[in-house]
Amino acid sequence: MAGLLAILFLFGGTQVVFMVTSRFRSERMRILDNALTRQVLLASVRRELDNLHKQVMVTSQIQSDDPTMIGAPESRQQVNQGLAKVRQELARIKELTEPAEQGHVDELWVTSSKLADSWTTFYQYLGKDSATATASLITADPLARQVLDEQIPRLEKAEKQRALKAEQEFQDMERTTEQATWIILVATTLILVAGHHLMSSYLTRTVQVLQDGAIMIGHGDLEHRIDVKSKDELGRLAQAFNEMSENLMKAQGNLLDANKQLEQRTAQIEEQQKLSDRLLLNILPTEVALELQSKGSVEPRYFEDVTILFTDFVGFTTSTENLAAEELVQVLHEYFTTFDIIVAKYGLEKLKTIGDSYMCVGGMPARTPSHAVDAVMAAFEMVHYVTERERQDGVARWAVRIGIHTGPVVAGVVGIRKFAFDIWGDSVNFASRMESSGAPNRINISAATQMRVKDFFAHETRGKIETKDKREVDMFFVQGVLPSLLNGSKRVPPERFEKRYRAYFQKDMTAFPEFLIERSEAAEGA
Amino acid sequence: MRKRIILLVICGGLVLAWQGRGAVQAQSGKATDVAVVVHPDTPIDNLTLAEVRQVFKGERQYWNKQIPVVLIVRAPVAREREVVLRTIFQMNDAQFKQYWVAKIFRAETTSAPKIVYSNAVANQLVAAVPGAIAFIDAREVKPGVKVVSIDGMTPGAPRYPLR
Repeated sequence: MAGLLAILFLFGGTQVVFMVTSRFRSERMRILDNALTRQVLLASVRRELDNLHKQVMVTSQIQSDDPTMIGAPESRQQVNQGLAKVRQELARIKELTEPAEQGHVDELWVTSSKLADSWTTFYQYLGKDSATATASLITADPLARQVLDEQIPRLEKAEKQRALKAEQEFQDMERTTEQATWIILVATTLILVAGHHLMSSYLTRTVQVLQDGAIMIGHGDLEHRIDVKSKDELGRLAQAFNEMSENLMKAQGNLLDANKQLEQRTAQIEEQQKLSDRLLLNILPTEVALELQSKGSVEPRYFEDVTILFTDFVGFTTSTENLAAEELVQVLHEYFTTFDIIVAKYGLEKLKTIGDSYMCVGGMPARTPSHAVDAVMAAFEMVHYVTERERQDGVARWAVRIGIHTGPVVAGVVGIRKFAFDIWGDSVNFASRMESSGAPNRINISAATQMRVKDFFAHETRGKIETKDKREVDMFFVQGVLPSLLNGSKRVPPERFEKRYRAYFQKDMTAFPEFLIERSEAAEGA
Repeated sequence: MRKRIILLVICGGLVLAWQGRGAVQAQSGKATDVAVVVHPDTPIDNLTLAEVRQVFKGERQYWNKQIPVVLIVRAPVAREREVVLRTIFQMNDAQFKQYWVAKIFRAETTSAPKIVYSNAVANQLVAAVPGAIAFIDAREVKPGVKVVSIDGMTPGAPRYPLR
C-alpha cells in the first residue's frame, strides 16, 4: 500500500511538474514569440526606413534633374505608404511590448515620427522651396541616424536578448522538466523494484509458510498452526487454514468418537447378529438358516432318502406327577441337551421336541449317505446316556424308546412367527410308529432302515408288528455292532467297522460310541 | 612637321588660356576663390585638399564623435559646384550624382550632400547646422561661419587651390 501511495505521489508529482513547467514554458513561448515578432517588425521598420532614407537621399541628389517629376504624387504616395506602414508596425511593436519596456519603443516612435515629418516636409517643398526642403533633409539626417543607427539597433539588441533569454529560460525549464521527469522515473522504478522485491519476498515467504503448514496439516498434524499475523488476504488465508485445522481436529475427534461408538455398536450388533445366528442355527439347519437370511423364506425341498429318529421317555408322565414343574423341565433340559450333543456329534439335525419326545433327522439338509448308520449310533448313545443317568442320580427313572425309519420327506420352514424347520411325509409318521412300537431303552428300526444298517449293526428281527394305525410292518431291534466287524478289537472305532464305513460312505467317521464295543460283545454273548 | 605645329598651337592656346585665367584671377583676385566654410563649432581650421576630398566624398562622416559632417553643395550650374567637382572630385556633374547614388545604395553613407541653390542659403545653413561644411564664393561669405584654410592657404592666397 505504501509503495502504491508512493508511486501515486510520484505520478502526481510528475503531473504537477508538467503543469507548472507547462505554464512557465507557455509564458516563455509567448515572450519568445513576442520578441521574435517584434524583431521581425523592427527589421521591417528598419528596412522600410532605410529604403525611405535612401529614397530621400537619392531624391535629394537628383532633385535638380526634374524636381516636379521627383516630387510627383506617385513618389509622395509611395513615401506616405511607406511611412504609414512604419507607423503601423511601430504601433504593433508597442502593443506587443510590456509596459515596463516601452520606453525605448516610445523614443523610437517619437523620433521616427519626427523623421517622417521631415521627410514629408522635404517632399512637400521639393521643387517649391529648396531651402525648406534642404532644411528638412538636414533635420532628417540626424533623426535618421538616431533611428537607424541607435534606436532600432538598441531595440533589436534588446529584443534579441529578450528572445535569447526567453529561449534560454524555456530550454532551462525543459531541462529541469526532463531532469525532474528522469528523477521521478528513476524514483518510481526504484520504488517499483523495491516494492516488487519486498512484496515478492513477503509473498514467497508467506506462501511458503502457508504451504508448509498445509503440508503438515495434510500429513495429519492437525495441531499445527500457521503463524502468519498480517491482516491482509494472506493473513486471512492463514487464519482460515488454522480454523480449518481446528475444525478438522474437532471433526477428527468427533469422527474417532463416532468411530468408537460405531465399533462398539458394530460389536454389539455383531454380537447380537451372532446371537441371532446362533439362535437361528439353533432353530434351523445351517443351510436353511442361510437361505432364510438371504431370501427371507425357505423353499420346501424334497429329500428322497433321510433317516428319521424319534425318542420318547418312558415314565415321563409319572414324573410329571411326582416332580415339580421346574424340576421336570430341568431334567428334561438335561436329557435333551445331551441328545442335542449326541445328534450334533453324529451329523444329525435336531428338528424339535414335542413334550418328552425328541425328533431328529439324518441325511438332510446336507445329503449324507451314512445317515442311517449315524442315526443308529446316535440312538445307541442316547440309550446309553439315559440308562447311565438313570443309574446315577435315581431322580428320574426314565427309559427311552427310540424309533428309526428311513425314507423320503419334504422339508421346509412354514409360518412367519416362531417358525421351525420341519419335515413332512409318510416317512415321518412311520418313524413315529417305530418309536411308539418300540421298547424302553431299545432301538426299533424299520425294514428300510435295517436294509441300510444291516452291514454295520446286528439286529433282532421282531417280525411284523401292528402299528397304531393298524398296519403290520416289519420291525427290528438294533443290538450292536456286527460281530464280524468287531473281531475282538477294542479299538474305537473298530477297524473293520471304520473301514466298512469309509468304503460304503466314502468318508471318515465323525464319532463312534466307544461303549458300543462292550455292549455289542455283551449282546453277542447273549 | 604638321603634328609639331598642331601641338605647338595647342600648347600655346593652353598657355594663353592659363594666363588668361590667371589674368582673370589676377583681375578678380579674392572674388574667384571658393571658400570652404564650416559651422563655427566645427573643430577644424585647416584641411588639406585630400581631406577636403575625403569629406566631400563622404569618406569622413564625423568631425568628432559628436559632430557629424553635413555636406552642403550647390546645385548644378553653380560656379562653386563646378570648382569643387573639378578640383576636388575630378568628376563631372553626372559622375558626381552617380557616385553619390551608388554610395547611397551601397549603404556606404547615412547622409548625402544637401543641395542648395544659393550662397545665401548655404551661409545660413552652415551658420545654423553644427558640422555643416559648404563651398561658397569667398566674396559671399557672411559672418557666422568659419572659413577653413586649405593646405594652409586661405582664399586669396596666391596658390589657393580652390579657384
